Amino acid sequence: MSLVAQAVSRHFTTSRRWPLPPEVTVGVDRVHCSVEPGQTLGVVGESGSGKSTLARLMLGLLEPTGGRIEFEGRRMDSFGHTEWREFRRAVQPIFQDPRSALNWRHSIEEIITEPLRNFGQGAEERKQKALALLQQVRLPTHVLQRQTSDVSGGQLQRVAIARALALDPRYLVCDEPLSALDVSVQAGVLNLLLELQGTRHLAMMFISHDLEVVRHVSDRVIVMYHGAVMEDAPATDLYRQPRHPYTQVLLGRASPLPEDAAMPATAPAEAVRTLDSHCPFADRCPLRQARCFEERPALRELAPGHKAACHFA
Amino acid sequence: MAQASVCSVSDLSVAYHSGDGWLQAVRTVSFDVRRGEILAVVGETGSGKSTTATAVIRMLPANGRVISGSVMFDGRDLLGLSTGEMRKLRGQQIAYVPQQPMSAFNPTMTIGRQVAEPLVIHRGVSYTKAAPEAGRRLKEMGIHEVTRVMRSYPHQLSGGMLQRAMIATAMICQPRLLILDEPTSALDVTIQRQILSLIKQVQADYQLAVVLISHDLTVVSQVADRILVMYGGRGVEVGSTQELMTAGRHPYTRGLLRSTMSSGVEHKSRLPSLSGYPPNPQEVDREPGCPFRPRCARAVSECGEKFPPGTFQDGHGWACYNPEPLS
Amino acid sequence: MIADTTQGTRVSAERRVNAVEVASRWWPLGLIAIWLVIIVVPGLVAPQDPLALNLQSTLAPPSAQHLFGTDQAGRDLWARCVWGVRYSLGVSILIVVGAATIGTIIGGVAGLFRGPIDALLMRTTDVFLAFPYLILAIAIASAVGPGLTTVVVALTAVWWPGYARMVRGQVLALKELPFVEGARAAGTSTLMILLRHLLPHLLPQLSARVSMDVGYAVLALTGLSFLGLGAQPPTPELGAIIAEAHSHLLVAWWFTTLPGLFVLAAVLSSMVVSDWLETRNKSSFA
Repeated sequence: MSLVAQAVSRHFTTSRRWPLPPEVTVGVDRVHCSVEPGQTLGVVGESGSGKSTLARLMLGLLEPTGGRIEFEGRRMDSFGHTEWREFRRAVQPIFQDPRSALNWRHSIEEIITEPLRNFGQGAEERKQKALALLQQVRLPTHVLQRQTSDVSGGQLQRVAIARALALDPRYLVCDEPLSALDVSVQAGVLNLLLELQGTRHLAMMFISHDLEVVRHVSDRVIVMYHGAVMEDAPATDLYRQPRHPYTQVLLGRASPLPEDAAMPATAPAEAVRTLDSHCPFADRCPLRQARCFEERPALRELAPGHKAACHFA
Repeated sequence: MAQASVCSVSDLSVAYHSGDGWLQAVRTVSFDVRRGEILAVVGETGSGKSTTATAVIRMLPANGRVISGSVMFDGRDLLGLSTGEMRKLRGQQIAYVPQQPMSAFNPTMTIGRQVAEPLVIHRGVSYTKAAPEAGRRLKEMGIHEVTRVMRSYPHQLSGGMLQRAMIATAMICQPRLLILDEPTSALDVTIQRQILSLIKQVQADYQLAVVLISHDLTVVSQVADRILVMYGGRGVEVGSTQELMTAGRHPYTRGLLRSTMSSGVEHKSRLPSLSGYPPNPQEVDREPGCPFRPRCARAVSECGEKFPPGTFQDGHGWACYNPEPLS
Repeated sequence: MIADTTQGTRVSAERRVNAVEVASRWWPLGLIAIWLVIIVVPGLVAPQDPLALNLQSTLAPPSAQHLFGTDQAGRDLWARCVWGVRYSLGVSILIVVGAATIGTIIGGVAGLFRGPIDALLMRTTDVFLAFPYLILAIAIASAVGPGLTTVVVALTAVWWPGYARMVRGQVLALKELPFVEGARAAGTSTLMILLRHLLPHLLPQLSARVSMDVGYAVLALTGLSFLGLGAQPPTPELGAIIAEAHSHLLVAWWFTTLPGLFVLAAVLSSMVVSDWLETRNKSSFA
């Protein structure tokens, strides 16, 4: 019973100027990954890698333009109203910045109990549940009546976690949950997430640009670049022996070539039609050769359970 | 290398006027920066690090005030200078690189114009005369396609390129003091490393005094010579990078280091963490004594009464009544 | 080096909460309170009966008995004006709130659903926006006769499109905010997103605009009634009173002036309140 992405793609149309063909940019390109109960899938990438888009696809907030996502054996594109309700109960997000991810015109209590309201629980029940949730995330009860502006960033992220747990989900998709927090507070929130995963046997997808954090929490890690998976391996293997040059660069074990001044790093400007003609990392890869610009490397298994998309890994 | 001090800040206190009263953001902070060294000022939310930097170059927002202290540069107190004199110093002798290179450039002007601007303003030359110098600087900062970049607008360049251009702009008049506010926070990990080594290189080439402001201790430890740790508007520890990373005496410094990720930690285990949250200026105002006390495992009774006096030992200083023992 | 010999000066000055400061910030509430009294208990302000005929003293100038004189049928003018402004304000508020509600629903639905629904709703809005209210009122009056219903329908029909446009624009921006995604992930339906999440963000601007529009509605209503399309005699209504009065202008100056002053007061008050709401909105912008 897991949440699986099968060759999932998401393209964005950035300009429609009829009669010219529309411009399409790639958000996510044919990604395979799965989130298993009790395990954490780490997703590493920089800006423009597509990791946030992948998170939204897994959360059902975006529809894939290619491939499909299966939730516990059932295809997401075939969900009816009941299946969607079930899905929303089971799969919950933690977003990066709690100050914008939570409605700042609501009180903390309203924020935490909203999922419960959506599923028809009464006012008294909701209040009791909210108090119980606050305890689980180690927040004092007086926080309930406060507004988000009265509460610190670290506390607010705990509120976000409490809200995510309200419906007793089985899956948690965390998109950079620590990045907006103060350094001295990050460890505490991370410990909380790990603890919750342990006691609730949660399946977690943990997205971050911080490799050290991802290594610590993940069982399996995928490394993304320009929307595609560059490497897919068990966490310990990835860090002990990274195969893909991009992973090596991320880990500081190799230096990338100087940036191409024309490419804004945040926008993967790959035109869809040229996707398979070359390796997306070719222009910055320290190992690059002619073949890298002619043929796109497939994701192949280089060691048991360890895949990388490189001609020369 | 005990060099001469380029900029010396003493007992600086800064407050902001908000709504109905004043909130003190920085309380009697002192430090100096020497020629040829990188001083990192590290702190989290509410530490007052950015306020300190903007106060030094006198670019506080309209509701900010320096309420005490002095900033000595070249034998003069910057806080006492007229606006005109200060303006002459900014960009020429003292350069400031603000946060977020993407927003710090004017989106309607080309990079070339903006990099050359300090020269045009301070040396009175025309843009055509200043352009070659701008190009040279950009090249120095690691940009290869100089002509193309000079003709580009900010939105056409990546964060890393913009940061390089920003540093080029700061360096074009060859200042003696360079202040960088969170230079790598908005950048990707792979670019961060490159920018940090660029800063180190520029500092060495020009024997600059550099103040590097950051919230990330591990990031600055790679390039800083000395570090000043701030918390709740106070300076709590200062010393060489080596000393602070291995033998920090203040419980906050130690706590910060312990709770950051290091390779020796067991997979999925509980990390040592500091309880509580960094205080905001209102909270610091309410409680006398050390702002770190609520989170400190080593707090003693004096901590709640008065902020501890500084203890110094060979250039390593800390403000704590019950510092961590030498391990 | 760190050097600290002092505690650090306590800069935060004591909060001086005094009556003058509070009054200067909150006085428009007092204004609203006065109008509320006039609308709800007009008898308190004007003890005379606005409908009481007194053919002995028609067009009498201001006196001890009738503070602002009487009209052509001997009725106390002050009382008629108080009841008149009550009518004007009351109906205007009704019109504007009605228009705002309709506009918010239509604009909200259009902004949230986009696509063909958006197109349909917005083109309908454009059609209504094109109508001049005066012509519409005359048309309706010629069909069903003049009166309260006529003006309410006419004015509401041309007022809601402005709100629809405004709300749609705001909703388009608001729905991209991260918390909307969070709400969807928590299972919140689109309707609930509009009501529970977006409405609190829309209300500040909406209330400032509603407040201002009440002033304009009073003017429009007064104008329509002056032309005879609105309230019919003997209902006291400011526009109607002015219509009656203008033929007596040279002999009884108070007859036209007083209702005019009331209209002025009502409109100015609505502008003041609207302005105050806007400044309050700005200061609490998160």
